[in-house]
Amino acid sequence: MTPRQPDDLTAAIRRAERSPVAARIPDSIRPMLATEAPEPFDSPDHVFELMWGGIRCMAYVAGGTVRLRSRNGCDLAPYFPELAAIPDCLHASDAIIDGEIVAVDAQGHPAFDLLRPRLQVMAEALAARPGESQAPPEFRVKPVAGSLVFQAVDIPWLDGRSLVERPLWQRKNRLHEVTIPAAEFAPVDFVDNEGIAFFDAVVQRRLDGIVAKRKASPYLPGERSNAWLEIRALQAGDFVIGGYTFGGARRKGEPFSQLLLGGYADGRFEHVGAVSGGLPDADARRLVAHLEPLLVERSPFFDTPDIPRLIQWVKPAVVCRVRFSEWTADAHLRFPIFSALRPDLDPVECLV
Amino acid sequence: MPRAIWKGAVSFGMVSIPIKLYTATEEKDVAFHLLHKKDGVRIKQQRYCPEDDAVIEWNDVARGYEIAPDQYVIMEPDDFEKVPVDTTHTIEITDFVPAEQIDPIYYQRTYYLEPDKVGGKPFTLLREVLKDSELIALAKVTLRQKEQLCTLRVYENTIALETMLYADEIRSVEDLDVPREQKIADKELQMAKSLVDMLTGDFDPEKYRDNYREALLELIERKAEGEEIQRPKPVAGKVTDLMEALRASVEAAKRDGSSAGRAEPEAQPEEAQELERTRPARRRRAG
Repeated sequence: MTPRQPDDLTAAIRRAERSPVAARIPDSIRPMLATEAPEPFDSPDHVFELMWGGIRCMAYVAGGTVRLRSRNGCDLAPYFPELAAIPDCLHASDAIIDGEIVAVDAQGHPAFDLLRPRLQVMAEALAARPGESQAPPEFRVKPVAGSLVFQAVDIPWLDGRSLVERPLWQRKNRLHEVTIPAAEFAPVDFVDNEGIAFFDAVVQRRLDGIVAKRKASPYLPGERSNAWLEIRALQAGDFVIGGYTFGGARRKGEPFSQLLLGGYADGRFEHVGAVSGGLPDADARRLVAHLEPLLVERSPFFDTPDIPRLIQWVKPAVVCRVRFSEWTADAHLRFPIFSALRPDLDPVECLV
Repeated sequence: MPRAIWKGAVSFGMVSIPIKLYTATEEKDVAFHLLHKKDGVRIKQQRYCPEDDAVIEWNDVARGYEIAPDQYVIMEPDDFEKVPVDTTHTIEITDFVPAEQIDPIYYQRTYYLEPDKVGGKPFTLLREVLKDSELIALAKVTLRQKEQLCTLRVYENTIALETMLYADEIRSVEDLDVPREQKIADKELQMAKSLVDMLTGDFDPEKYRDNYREALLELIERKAEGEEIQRPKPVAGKVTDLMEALRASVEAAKRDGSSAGRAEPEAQPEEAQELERTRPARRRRAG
């Protein structure tokens, strides 16, 4: 997919917004992105949402059907057929809903790992059809262990009009007016004013963190803005696999011992750590098979890690989510645990 | 398209082209009503005569032209009808001139022309000849009882009529205190020129917006809705339960006032700043 220039798009959206007649729904609006903030804060000018830590998704609803697009523009609909019901949850002729696909465990906590099987098949389907953002036509997925919900956070477009220049509080009110909440689709709830107490409650329950959003802020497509601030309670990040190792404390039958991870800094692919735990053998074998077409002879890392093990280098093309305890002083991951593949993200977006 | 404000014909040599005029522009001012502060009721304007100390009716109001201090010529409605005005409803083209010879100061208001069904062909002819010759037509038109000078020029796919001021309606610049000539160093001129070069571009009307009006409307909207975000309707389910539980914790903390003395879950502030310096990119990213 070749995304249109954001400037053109924004200009088109602005024109549409001022036009007295309803305009056609845009083909794509890039999601607005958040900046990370180190500390929670209290503010009457912000609303505080839970960081659901799901798959970011733009839902384009028109003519009674919905298109679902990931951050990198891939079609998510085939992998999440449950969300085909989204149009039934809206009182609108057309709309673009910004949200997250979240898997919730038995305790009602968001659990990214539950999405792992879906992301695995998505990664494999995309790898089987390189260059195609569309999914293969015939496709079946297994139910998620837990429940799947689309958490709607924003509405940059509604009924033939752009809302991007409207302040957040107005967009939220529009979103809440037009939705008929259901088990699979609901606007996110939020907390007013009390960012610090909310963050403390989130830390206590070992949830990912909170997002503070400025009530007066416009929707800035594709921009990483400080109108939205993420404050992490648990560390997690998306990194690119640059290789895997054999030997060491490897159990018998284990397809590899560690995945070597990296991310981009100033255009250079830098090593950030190695992850071993978190994958059952069957999943690990599937992952190795998935990496097979990407094997390369030389290290893709700018700063090749000095690991006294047998290493198989991999072209940095596969993104995965990793939970970890903290960043070490020399910018590496402490106690990383593999969570899931992220075929919905582009490797170059994985900045460190 | 809204209602036509005028119907008539453009007379161009031997041809007469039946047309309608439409207002081409609208000013987007924010209109306010005057209210009684105490109870918010719209106030009424009344005509008051200080001599009688009484409110008077419209019937008792006349128009007067001040010929000397406190001396008026009263004009009755009948009098106005005696003024000879052209009511022929024609736009009579008198000259064709190059557009650049008319200073924009003369232009007043813009109207669009739309041909009547029978006027389609001669209308097209006029439009094409204006386009080809790159000239604009000067004409006279009577709008709202006033005979006015106007121009006709090609605009998009139609012809636009611009009413003009007469020369005696333009004020002189003679009384302004403007320096006639002053010595300017080449260097200064050069600098000014390079600044102009930097800012030179094509005119894009979309680029400019009425910031004051937008800010004002936004303020009004915010006051109307109170900047409150309505809480989404709850759905029965675990997600709602989780948020309810979190909100209950927040409420409890607020009651205890415990959030002020909370335990730091992360690094100490100094340490956090240190991390900031060594790996700024880590803090920037989120998603």
